Amino acid sequence: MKAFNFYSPRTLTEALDLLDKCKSRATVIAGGTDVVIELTERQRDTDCVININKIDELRYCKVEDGKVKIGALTTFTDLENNSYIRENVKGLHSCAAHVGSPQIRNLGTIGGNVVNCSVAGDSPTTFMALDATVVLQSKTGKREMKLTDFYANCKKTQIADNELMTEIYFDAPAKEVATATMKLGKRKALVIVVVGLAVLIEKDDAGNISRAQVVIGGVSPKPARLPKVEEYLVGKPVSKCTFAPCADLLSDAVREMIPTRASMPYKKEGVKGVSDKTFGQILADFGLQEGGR
Amino acid sequence: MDKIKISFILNDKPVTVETYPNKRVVDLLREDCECTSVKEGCSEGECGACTVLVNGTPVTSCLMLAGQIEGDSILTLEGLSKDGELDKLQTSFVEAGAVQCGYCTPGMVLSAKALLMKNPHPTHEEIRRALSGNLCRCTGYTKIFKAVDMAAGN
Repeated sequence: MKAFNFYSPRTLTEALDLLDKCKSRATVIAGGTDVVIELTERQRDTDCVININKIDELRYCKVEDGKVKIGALTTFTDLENNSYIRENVKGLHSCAAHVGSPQIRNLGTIGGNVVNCSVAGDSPTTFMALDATVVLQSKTGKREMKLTDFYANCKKTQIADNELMTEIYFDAPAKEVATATMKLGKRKALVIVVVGLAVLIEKDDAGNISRAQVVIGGVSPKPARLPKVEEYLVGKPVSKCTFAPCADLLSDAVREMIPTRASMPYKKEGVKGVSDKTFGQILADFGLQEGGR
Repeated sequence: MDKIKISFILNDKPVTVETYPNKRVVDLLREDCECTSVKEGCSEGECGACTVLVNGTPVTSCLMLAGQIEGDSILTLEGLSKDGELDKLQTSFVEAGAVQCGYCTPGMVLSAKALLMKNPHPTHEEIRRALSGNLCRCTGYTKIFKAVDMAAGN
């Protein structure tokens, strides 16, 4: 590991001051599950490391003004153990519970996972299906941005050198909303996402789909909304018959997104099973049919 | 590069170490604190050999920088036995024959310890899930799960 100076601010103000001074020469570390590997393998050149993991004010998960607000330092374990998330945002709960291993879930933070925007990241796909907004703070101010805009460029987020992501929030799902997430990997624990799918479905009084947000991860450089699948779903009844053709629609989408990639033949088949299981969980969340993972 | 001073609780004893910040917790514990039960395996958080408990929670110490444990309480395998007496988990690992080459054992025992501290009577599935971040290439896991079952009195 190369030499660097180490700072461990205790408050957000202190961290933003430091970040403003060091700018692009600084590396921010929270859980460290990605950053320490990059430092060890010398993929990252840095003069100073700012450890934000001791800033307890950024560790929370609360419902306020109809929004679910999650502090950047909330770990996957925190989310997995949060009873509100477990009951009301099943897609996010399942996503958090299946990240890496217990050790990784204890260390890894939501902010780190979102800002790192790995192609195979777990939570960005789910947060995009929830149409989440990120809060970015710097010494000079605060701005908010939809996750879809935050990931506008390939493998790069819109975060500035002097900014910290402090929070991610999304609308608290109403009773008529169901969410589900599923990832395909090579085994159950400690896998990176081969194909990830996150779905949010809202139904109206008649039991028809009034809103559908379908996001695929692990295929393109950043998670992608799938308008074709969403358009197909809207207006149709929430039922197994409605969801069944999504498997083929998703398979077509994968083929179109990565026509020449060597993994395409595998992913386009794999996504069919992921589709059936994810929509099965949506039905279960609506209390319509047994789900199961 | 300036040295940093790190104060933390190691196996119930307060310690202060002055070291360079570009060390990981696994290096700090092995090189500066003589806790060589902490093994380095994959160096990327996959194998769990370097697992230690930070404030009672299992984490992979190869993914933490030394300075990050300031003020925390760390438990390594060295802190598990008291006055020369093995912990119940250690005894059950011996009795169940859960140790072969032994390299994964400290991490396995600590992950299991963290589980039993939170949940004294876990189900078989809970044990499997708690140990899912620790890889063993010798035993095939059966005897390791049995050892944890024994310690839990199942």
